Amino acid sequence: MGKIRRSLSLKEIQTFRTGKIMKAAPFFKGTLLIWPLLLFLSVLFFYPLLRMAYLAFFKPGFTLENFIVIFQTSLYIDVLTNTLKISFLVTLVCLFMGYPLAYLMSEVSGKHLAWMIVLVLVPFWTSVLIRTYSWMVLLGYNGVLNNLLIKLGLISSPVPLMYNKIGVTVGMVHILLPFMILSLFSVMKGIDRELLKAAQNLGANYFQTFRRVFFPLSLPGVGAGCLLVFIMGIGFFITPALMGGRKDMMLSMLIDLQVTEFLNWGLGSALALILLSVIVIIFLISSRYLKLSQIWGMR
Amino acid sequence: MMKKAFKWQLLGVGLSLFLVLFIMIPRLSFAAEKELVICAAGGAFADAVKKCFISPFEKETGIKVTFVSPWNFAKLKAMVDSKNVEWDIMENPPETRHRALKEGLLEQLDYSKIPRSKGCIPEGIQPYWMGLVYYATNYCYNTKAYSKEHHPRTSVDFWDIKKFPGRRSIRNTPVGNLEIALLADGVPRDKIYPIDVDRAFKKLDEIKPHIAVWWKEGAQPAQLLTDKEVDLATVMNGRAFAVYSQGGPIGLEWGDGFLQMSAWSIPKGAKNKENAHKFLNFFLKGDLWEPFLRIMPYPGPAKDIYKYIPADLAKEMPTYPENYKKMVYVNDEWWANNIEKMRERWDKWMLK
Repeated sequence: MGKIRRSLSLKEIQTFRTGKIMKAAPFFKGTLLIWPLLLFLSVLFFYPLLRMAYLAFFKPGFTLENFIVIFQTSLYIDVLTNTLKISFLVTLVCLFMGYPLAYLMSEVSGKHLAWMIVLVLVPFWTSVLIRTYSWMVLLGYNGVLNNLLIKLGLISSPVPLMYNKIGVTVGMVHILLPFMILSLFSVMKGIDRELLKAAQNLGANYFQTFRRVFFPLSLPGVGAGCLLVFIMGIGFFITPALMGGRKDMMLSMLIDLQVTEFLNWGLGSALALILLSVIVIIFLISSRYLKLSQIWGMR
Repeated sequence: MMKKAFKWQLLGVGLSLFLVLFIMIPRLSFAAEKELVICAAGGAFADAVKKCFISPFEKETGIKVTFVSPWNFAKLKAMVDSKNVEWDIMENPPETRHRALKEGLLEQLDYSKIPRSKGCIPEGIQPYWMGLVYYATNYCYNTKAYSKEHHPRTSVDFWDIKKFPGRRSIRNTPVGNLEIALLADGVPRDKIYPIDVDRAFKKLDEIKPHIAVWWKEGAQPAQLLTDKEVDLATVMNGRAFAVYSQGGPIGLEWGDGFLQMSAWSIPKGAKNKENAHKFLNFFLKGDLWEPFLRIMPYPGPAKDIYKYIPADLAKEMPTYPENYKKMVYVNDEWWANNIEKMRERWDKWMLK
């Protein structure tokens, strides 16, 4: 069925499936239900964000003093780099752990799928603090895992699994993995299995089918998942504070220090804005390579 | 068709606005008629304060007290700046109180309304704050690793890895740690201030690789010792007391600990200053302290506390003369002037 696509004026919309062109609802009436939400967001989100920008740039006269301090003090640059490194590591671990699981979930259906979704989501709903403390019990020097390994004779003295990079990574991966899995799953679910069968028909073996058909099609999910996990990771505060070592300092801990202990709201806001800019830059770069509309589920 | 849909949309908007207001309005009227609001740390401390001071106060004066927690420095500034002060009395910890004073966040106390303050220890009776509790941070040990006879008794001992091996934990803050580092380097207790920072950090470099956990919250080190996650740690005396008084595996040493004082203050612009002063006067009543000290061995500035407690409990107090003379009193004025630089240097040092 041929659909004639012509450019639409502002007063028309075109339905996706059938191509029928209709008159759009007037702007005000059509968007009325969104207005309470927009009002809510403006007051409670955009306005505080503007206030924060004001605090960072005005003292009260316009000044770049806060930013100069940040870039001249090696501490902030080091911690920012550290934050990005830890988050990157966590993203990679989540990807390698989440990809096979998401693939499995996209293959099964019915009762099995329901169970798998429950198992992925239940930790998601448990309080972060409780999960962190549970890890302390499991991974501690005198904890469950170490005692078990010693009893089994696999190690002679306890292995430091907490208060270092291992502890932080385990803690953060545990919390961020569901996000990765769900992002990957939603894309993998939509990959037409007929394409895989077609590839095998043409002589490809399993590995080639995966490498040349399935994997490229799953890339939007990979991109979306990594983006989501990375962005959430750089804002993490509690888990690195409780499970990390002295070197695992993340920028959010410094922001908290400036805001709550030193009342240096200008510096804290400036640090927060820098973090926000990093996120925005990453987002802009990825939107060039990823079709972002796929992330939001619109196809 | 369009008109019907429009009616529903209008209904939807109206409903959501109504819900928003419905949720917000009760919260707005929250600040209305409160007789006295006290803000301090929560947990076991709050329970003890409520039981031993707030309930008797309510009974005697009939003033209804609302207790909120936790205290937060940024929240204080936000409240005072926006002239919407919810608290009448608040805990004022040593780390931030000089800064709070500089920022103009505190009311001057009217000691004519606090007659019991006469004769109390001067450092507890100050123009902008009144002593709350004295608390010490001491070297503690796991009783399976060390015993009452054999354990680190001084900073020098704590730094001695060969004589006292084991995993250690100290607090992730320069406050107090610079002092004990200097003690470990042989500086006599009365010559600690002004702090020779380079010397302190050099000494801390020696112990840094042996610190397994850098604790942040008060509850952590006692837990770490109980779990035998570490063998030695600096712990606040009340936290350790809570464990060993119940038979837990922690031992406490008073030698080379450091002492701090938390205080009560009235935020600038508080609504119930009269009632606040009444409470502060009530707080200095000596006979109220015995039940509190049994749970929290943190004595306050009231002058006749030791008259009301038995000898064995007195020995657990940081201000008990035997214990007091072995410790360093942390000079919060020095810290007020240096905390930001020290914190930055400490964080950088931690990363190396």
